[in-house]
Amino acid sequence: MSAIWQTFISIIQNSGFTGLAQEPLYIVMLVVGCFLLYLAIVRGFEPLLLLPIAFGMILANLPGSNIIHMQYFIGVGDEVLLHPSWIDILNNGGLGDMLYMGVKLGIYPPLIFLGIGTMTDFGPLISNPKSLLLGAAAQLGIFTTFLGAKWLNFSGAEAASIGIIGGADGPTAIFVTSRLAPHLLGSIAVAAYSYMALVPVIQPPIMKALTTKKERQIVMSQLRTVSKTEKIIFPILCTIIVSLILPDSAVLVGMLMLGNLMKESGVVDRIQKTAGNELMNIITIFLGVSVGCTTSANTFLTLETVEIIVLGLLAFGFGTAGGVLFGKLMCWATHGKVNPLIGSAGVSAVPMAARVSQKVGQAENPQNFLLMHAMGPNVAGVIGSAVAAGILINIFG
Amino acid sequence: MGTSFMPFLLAITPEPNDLTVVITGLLLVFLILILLTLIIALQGKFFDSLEAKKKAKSAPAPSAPAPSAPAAGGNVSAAAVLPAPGAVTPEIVAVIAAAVAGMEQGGFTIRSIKPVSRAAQASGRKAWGQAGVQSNTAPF
Repeated sequence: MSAIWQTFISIIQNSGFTGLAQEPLYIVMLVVGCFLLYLAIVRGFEPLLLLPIAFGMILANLPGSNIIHMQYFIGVGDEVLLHPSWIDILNNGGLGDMLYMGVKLGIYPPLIFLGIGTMTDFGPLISNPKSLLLGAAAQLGIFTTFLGAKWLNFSGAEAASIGIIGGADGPTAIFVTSRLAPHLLGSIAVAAYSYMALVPVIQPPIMKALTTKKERQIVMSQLRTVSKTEKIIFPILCTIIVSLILPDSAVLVGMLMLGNLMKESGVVDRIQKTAGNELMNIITIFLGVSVGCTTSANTFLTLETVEIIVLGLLAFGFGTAGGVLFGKLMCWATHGKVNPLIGSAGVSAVPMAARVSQKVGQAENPQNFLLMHAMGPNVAGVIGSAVAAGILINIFG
Repeated sequence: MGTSFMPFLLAITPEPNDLTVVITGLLLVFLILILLTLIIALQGKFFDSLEAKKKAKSAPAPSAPAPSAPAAGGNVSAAAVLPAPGAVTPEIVAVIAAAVAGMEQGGFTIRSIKPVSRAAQASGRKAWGQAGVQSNTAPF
């Protein structure tokens, strides 16, 4: 009888309830995880990523689950590991540790880019190459937020990782953060994906505030037709040029363009479908769960996370403003042939940002169709944020 | 990290000051994308000229005026049958007359058919193109 009792006590002592009683912050993290699940399921905020991230957050914060050991990757307290302790990871690691290696080694984000490439049409960009400039202007959010983060006493590498939220590109934000400030990965990924889902709420007021009714009503002329040859040459040329100038961007831009070349060439239909569907879905699950697992009470429930959330919002705001203001400049330079609203699509968030331009434009003039015009800056934004990521990694990596 | 072709800009000592990062970063993003813009624009011009040469080589098709014929159903006036030359063919008039007949149920008169609206002219799309874009972008 006593043996049964002892076993019973031992099971209770090893249960998660004891852990929760010892560290009540776990309960707060579980509540945050459930709230994010609510946002994903009920509100439809980027559910494909927010759902696995939120569930990963819950798994990692169940005491005793040992699903991930972030101390093997980033050290404990002030201890800074130059390299993850691979032996500990392989000997004692859980599922989260194994999946997180794909983030740490920078494997998942480029593979997600490969899938995005298979679904991206660079036609509107090739048809109107000037839209690349709008994609560049919208990166203003990254660099202004970098300044803001520095002002709040974040280190250079941390500020760069926070700034990249302004690129409105989840995989890029994860890629940069995993290299420069892995301890902030959870907060930055949650901020980036939450704001990407909020693009239709964040952008319109800024777009309306910076443009006149007359500018919003501008009807743009039809885009020229782009030949298949041009669409095939573009990804090859873009990869070579960008990678030669900025080798740190090669992996992101290269994978994006490889996916696009698969699509445009039309000769590898099978692998193009795999890259854009099955592979991307598998990587999305791995990425979401492992990023969610990196959030622990002592790294997530901090003032830093609140600051990152606020800075992330500013990053999106400044990015949108940069694109719209440059759109106004182009409108002025072309004597009213460019509708400045397409500038806001320069923050990546494909295709949501382009849809927002279309919606705001059509609210002013129902005959106006800005969607295809906005897709140019939109895909240019993906290239722009990958370039900005390369620059920041080069400087702070 | 990898080396760059612009070491004077990027390989700056331990941690460059904040303004240097911002200016260098923005400048480089713009320079790289401007370079891409120029290359794509040149490529576009090259392919456009190639296309123009191909068109010039092929013989131009003779443009005969479309014969006009009265459309069946309803009272279609002569003005509707003979609109701007070459713009509205009798087949289109017949389709429009049939569509209106289907909607109106009773008697009707089509007095004129204009080829494109002002808004459509401004965007460079014909009426059918405009309707197509409208239906495709409506969910957004």
